[in-house]
Amino acid sequence: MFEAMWQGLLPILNPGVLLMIFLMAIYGLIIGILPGIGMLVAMAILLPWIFTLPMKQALIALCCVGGAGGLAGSITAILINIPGENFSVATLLDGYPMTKKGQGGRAIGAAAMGSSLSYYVSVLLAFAVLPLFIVVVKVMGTGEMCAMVLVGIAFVGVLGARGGHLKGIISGVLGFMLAFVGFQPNTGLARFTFGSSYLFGGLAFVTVILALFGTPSIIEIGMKGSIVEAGQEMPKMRGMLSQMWQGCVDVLRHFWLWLTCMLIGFVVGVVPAAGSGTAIWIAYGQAAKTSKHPELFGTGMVEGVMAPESARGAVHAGALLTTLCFGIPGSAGMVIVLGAIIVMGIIPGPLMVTEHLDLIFMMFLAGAISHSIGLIQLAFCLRPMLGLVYLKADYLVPSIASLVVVGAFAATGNVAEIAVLAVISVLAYFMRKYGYAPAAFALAYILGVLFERNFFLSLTVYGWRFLLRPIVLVLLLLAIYVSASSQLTAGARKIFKLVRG
Amino acid sequence: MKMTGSAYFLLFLLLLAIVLLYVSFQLTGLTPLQTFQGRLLPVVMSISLAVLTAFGLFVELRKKAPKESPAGEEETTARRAEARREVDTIVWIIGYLVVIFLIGFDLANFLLVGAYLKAYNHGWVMSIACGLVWAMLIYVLLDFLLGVDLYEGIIYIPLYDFLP
Repeated sequence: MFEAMWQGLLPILNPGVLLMIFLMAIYGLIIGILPGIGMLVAMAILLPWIFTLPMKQALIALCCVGGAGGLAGSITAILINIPGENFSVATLLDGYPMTKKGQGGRAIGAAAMGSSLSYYVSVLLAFAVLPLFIVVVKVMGTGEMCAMVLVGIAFVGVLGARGGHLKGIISGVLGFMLAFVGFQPNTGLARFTFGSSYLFGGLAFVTVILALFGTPSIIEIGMKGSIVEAGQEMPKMRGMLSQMWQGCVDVLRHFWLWLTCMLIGFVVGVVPAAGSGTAIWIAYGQAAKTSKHPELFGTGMVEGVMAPESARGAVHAGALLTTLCFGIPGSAGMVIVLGAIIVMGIIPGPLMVTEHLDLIFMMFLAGAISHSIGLIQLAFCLRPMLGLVYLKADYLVPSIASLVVVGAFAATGNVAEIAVLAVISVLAYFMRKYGYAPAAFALAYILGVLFERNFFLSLTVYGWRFLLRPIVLVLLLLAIYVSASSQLTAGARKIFKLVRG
Repeated sequence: MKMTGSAYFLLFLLLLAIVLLYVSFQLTGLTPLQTFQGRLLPVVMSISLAVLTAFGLFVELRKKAPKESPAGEEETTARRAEARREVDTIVWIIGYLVVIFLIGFDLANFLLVGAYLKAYNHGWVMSIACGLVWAMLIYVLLDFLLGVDLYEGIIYIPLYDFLP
């Protein structure tokens, strides 16, 4: 294991790679700070280019954007009351009131210190629990992996859809249908190709991801006209650095709260698809519950900023662990990482932990290093970065649109990608508009082929009895419960009322 | 019962599921085993999609329409402006894709940025300058540095003969 750790560190120590990490951290911060565009789009736009790099460097680049991009979302939440990502919503509850009180720098310091400390400690924690994960993963066969895919899609769909469980599950099924385009993995039968040789190999991963996450964001920004409200002024930056230091000290003063929130973030991160959006609220609730002045939460309490940020920082390591060991992403960003890993020919799961353990360590370390570099960049370039948020949509829409389209084309060099991008973009836009879960769609599309291969392999080896293997059965029941939990609860309530009535 | 946007989308998905189910049943391999393996999951998934969307549509149509408070004039104007910008942005993106198909990436990038800025009340000089800078940036980054051979469109443009 220590050898794998060393092997994971070696590629990062290359000066060229360190320069790339530096640049990726800037890129992640610049795109991540733009509310409505954010980290997911930053990762999606990067995909076509990273596939031109050697595998290890490509994975490092992707983790760096994720590591640094997460930092940026809370800045806009604190300073201008606009959350950069859904996981920054809890931060603005106390962050923005602190800015109004003239303590914006202190809030940023607390957020950055809380999330960074959590990030590093959670990476160590991930290293510590990895052997346990390896033992569990090695028990899992093809049937169990099949069932895990269904559990993952159920979780991502249910937790990621704004419009309810049903829409989340529909998103997952739609993603599966898209994965069936092209040759069937076992038989070589061409499906849903409509005679086009272009579709024989299936749809390009990059095009699908760009259409799912890139285009809807562009339309939304274009629709709003600008990110900030007209007439909203940029907050003053004088004395920001000294205030940031004070915020850092605040985190150390509330050490036990930080530790609790970090653990909450890590555990929630390990749960498939629960992600930062869930962890921040649990942590915020915990901070309010343990505070001596819970009534003051929402009026500018530093604990209200550091608690959700500390949880958010720790989610990444937990989510990466689940993604790499079980192939089930812990968050939407991890869906993209998972897809990239699969496209590069590595199958997450038992093979990953036995043959590519160094890659797991490398990805953890790359994320942690880019987080630190991003933190330094943020401290010194806060004003120009925040200035980007004040750019009008007139500049953002055409530039990002051209990046998305050029990226889709560059992935395969086939002009037909543009047509595919257009069709999936329209579908993705309406999915987002009506509250479906694009992440569940993407996950099902990414894992569809793998699911089908494992399914028929299990069927050949065990026959239909594979569905009755204990772990498979438990996982399938879990998937059904997660998918139908709201309907089941409502039904149970009705029965309870009937019985009482 | 009122057909909302969400209901129309579900109806579209239901029709899509029926088409996919039909296509799934048409899949035929060389042997019965091939046919079984090729058809099984697409048929199961398209049936699931049809059932789920039909159920979703049923729920959507049974929803009681919320009592709408009369929107103020300002709110109505803002909503209309937003809806117009939404349609505008979609049309711009589709137009951009069509232009790429016709005249290729380099010119389309210039046209998209320049025309978009001009359409939203920026000056001619600013629009052309931004368009040029952006198109050159993409060209240098992709064609020149990364060696991606960008598509040149179906209409012959003599300009491309001069680019390195």
